[in-house]
Amino acid sequence: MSESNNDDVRVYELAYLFVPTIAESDILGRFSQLKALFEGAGATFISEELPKDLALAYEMSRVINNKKIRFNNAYFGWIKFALEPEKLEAIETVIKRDEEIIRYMILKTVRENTITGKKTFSREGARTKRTYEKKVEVTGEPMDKEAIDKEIDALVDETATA
Amino acid sequence: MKQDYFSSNNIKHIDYKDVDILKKFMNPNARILGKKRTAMTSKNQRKLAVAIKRARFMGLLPFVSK
Repeated sequence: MSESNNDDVRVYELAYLFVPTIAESDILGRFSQLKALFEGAGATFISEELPKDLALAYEMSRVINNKKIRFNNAYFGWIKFALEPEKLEAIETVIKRDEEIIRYMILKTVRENTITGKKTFSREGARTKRTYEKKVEVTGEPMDKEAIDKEIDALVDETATA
Repeated sequence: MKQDYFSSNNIKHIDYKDVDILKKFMNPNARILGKKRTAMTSKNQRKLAVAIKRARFMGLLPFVSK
């Protein structure tokens, strides 16, 4: 797309949740299928995040083949793209009918990067616990058992007299 | 939090994908904190509410918790 007709395009973001039944190896293929849909409409991609397995914050359901199926996991990803507003509706109808997409959301956004945090989302339980190792420094020479006993006795005597 | 977090960090757009930041402005029941607690400008408080609601819809944040 040339710079001259930049005024006609608008920046959008599509966030989607793919069903977890798709195999991890096939997810990239499914993602490129989705991208091809946008390319066909003449969209230019700005940024994207590949679909990643995510533990959903609550249970979601989607009717697939006239059956209500519940999901606790999904592949979450997003694409930021620029497109002419008139062409968006056609894309949306295709996404809406796609039974491998549990939910989607199309937003108007800006071209600049809006993410400030390092991680966009994290799988629950993936957090690693910090472990602290106690360092005990041994000073002086190791004492033998008898010497320790004697020292304890001396301390006990001291406290008894005091 | 005595100052507006987004203004002081020069964040113009509050993204719904920044879950770690958004969580700071939710209470243990996953409710959005009020403007008095967040100390935000009205404009940013509205943006925050929209971002949290978007994250909830996509399952990144819960509607209710505990």
